[in-house]
Amino acid sequence: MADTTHREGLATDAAGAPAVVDAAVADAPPSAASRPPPSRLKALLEKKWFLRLVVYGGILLVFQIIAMRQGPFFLPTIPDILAAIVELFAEGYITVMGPTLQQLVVGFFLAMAIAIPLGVLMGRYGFWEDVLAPWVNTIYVTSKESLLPILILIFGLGFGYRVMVVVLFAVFFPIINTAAGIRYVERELRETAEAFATPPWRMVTRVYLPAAAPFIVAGVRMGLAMAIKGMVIAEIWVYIGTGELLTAFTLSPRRLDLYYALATVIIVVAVTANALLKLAEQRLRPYSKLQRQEAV
Amino acid sequence: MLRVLNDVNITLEERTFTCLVGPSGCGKSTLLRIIDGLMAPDTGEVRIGGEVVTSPSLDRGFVFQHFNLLPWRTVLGNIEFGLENLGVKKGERRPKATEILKLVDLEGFESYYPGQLSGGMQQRVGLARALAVDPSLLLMDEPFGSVDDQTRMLLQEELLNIWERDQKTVVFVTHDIEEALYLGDRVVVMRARPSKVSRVIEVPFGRPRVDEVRGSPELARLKQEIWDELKSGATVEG
Repeated sequence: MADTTHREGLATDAAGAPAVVDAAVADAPPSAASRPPPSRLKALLEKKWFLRLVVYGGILLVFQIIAMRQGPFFLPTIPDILAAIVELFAEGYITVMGPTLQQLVVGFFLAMAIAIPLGVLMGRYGFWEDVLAPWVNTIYVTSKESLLPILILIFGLGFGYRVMVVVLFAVFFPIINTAAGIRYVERELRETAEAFATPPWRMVTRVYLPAAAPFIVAGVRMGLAMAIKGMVIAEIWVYIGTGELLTAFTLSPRRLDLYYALATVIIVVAVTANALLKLAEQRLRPYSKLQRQEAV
Repeated sequence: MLRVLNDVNITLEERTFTCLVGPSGCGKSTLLRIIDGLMAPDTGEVRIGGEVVTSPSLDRGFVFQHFNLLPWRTVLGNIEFGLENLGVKKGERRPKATEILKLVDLEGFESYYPGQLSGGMQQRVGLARALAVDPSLLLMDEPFGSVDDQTRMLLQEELLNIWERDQKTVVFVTHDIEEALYLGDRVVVMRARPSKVSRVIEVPFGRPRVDEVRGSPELARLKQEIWDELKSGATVEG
């Protein structure tokens, strides 16, 4: 008996429910009308390519408008710059980039070959941290430009000097990042490797380096940015190579279109180098892909 | 100086399964690390077959409570870790690791990363990694302490299956009295402050262990006995 009552109660509830829903539906039209329909613009803004088009296109547009108002003496227009890029190649100016890129590549790899082992030593052994940290930290915070005269005294103005400037600029971020990454390798991982009787060298290559890899990669990428900075500054400082051209284009005969064209080429080189680095990381560290997914 | 362990004197018979059970802080994990050579005792020594233990060796396998897998290595890569340290060549490592992988029922997960696996599956990898080097002594530090109840019971059964096929000497640390009785030939009961071995219980259940042991009155009685033993020395701590 009680069961039936209960069921009846449920039935009443069930019958009542649609009425409530109906009321809500009856209320709905005015509120729906007052709400704007989902706009196409909003949908577009969620697309990555559209955002990029708006941002980059906007910047270029503003650049172009300012250039047209200011005139070519102050700012070349985008078509002028594009034409100048062609001229850079046609007139052979671009060949000056050869040695410049060479010093970038040699300097960058030399810097990494110095930085990562030093970072491992500093992160792993208190002794090396004590010995090296004062030097690293002092030069790291110093204006590297102020040290260029010393490099010129030591290495002259040749390839050696230019490579050393790149090294000086590029070496510190990866040292500091590698040391930090190694220092923070979890105790559990170290203990595990010890329990499996891992020899010291394999401890570094198979445990410390891969565990610290995200730190090291971040340091290497910052190092690349600094290397490119060093590459240009080394030459501007002593008026040779690409640096000389960059400066010359702003003097007489003043060719700002060529200056902007060359600057654009340098940006393209930097972006390409960065992309290559990312590709190398994915190749060397398949796990990095998963790490990125987890981070999102 | 903190004295964690005092007057611990135990002898393990070859090819037996010994469980160390006790409250947290009784030094059972420390004792396990000393047996492995991961930690050095201030006084005293550990001898295995007459040899004094001074450092970890690949003749001992260690399974950790929190799995401690290398997150950047795949399941297969993790299992191969110890084999690499043993100097086993790549061509021999793969088949060996694959064989162990089947033993712990992880076929199909070869190229997964630990982060993509559940806790129970990660611990199977942990066990496989320890078994892969074919150690004569297997040390397990609360290996099922961080997985859920059902997974723990399944893993216990699988561990017994594997052990009964290839009886290694096992030292298994746990705070779970029932787990110790279900798995072990002997249960060494430890007490904290001062930390010492307070009792050794020979487990009367035969091999192969059957699931019914879990519900048997004999297990309940022994569990109560161990609990009484532990309680007499226990204090509630925050």
